[in-house]
Amino acid sequence: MLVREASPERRRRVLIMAVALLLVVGGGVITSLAHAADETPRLVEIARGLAFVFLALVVGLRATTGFTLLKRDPAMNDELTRANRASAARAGFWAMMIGAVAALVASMYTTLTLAEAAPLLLVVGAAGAAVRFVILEARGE
Amino acid sequence: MTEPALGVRLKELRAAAGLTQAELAARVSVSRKTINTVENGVFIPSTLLALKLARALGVRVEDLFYLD
Repeated sequence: MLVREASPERRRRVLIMAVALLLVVGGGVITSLAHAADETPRLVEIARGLAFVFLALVVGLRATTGFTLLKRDPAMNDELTRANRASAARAGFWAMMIGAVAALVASMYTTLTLAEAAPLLLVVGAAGAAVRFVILEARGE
Repeated sequence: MTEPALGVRLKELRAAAGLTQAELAARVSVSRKTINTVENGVFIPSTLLALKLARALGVRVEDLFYLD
């Protein structure tokens, strides 16, 4: 049986995607904070928020579970990878908890709506899980 | 009293059997990365994987792993 393994390029792409998500959503949150809290969000802002949430969920799902729509080699989901995903899920959980505390502190100084905080928390959690997963997977090289 | 560490002789026994990491990984249905991390002590395998490795190399589990 031919045994394949994740390439360093693939891991780099996951890491870059996680960091990019963080930066883009962070910029989006900062921009949205410039608007008054009682303004009705525009359709493009709603679509952007939903798209980022979807991307965060996909990244988080791929970093913490073996779910895939494509048929893959079972050796790519062996016990080491499953252990790494479990560790990544823990890292994502704590990243989200820290993000929630930061959002709570920020809400004491500025108006922060749920629509602004929720995408950022989701992305922080997903990115934390993805980064942790990439670091653990790189140990085997 | 400190906790005993897990000693691993996988690399030596694998080399003695004339297998590469990839070949041994294929025999036990795991990735080469898993074999590498077990050999380096980074990852502690499950009982099932330890038994598979011992069978693939034709040795006892106690020959592969020991309490250090």
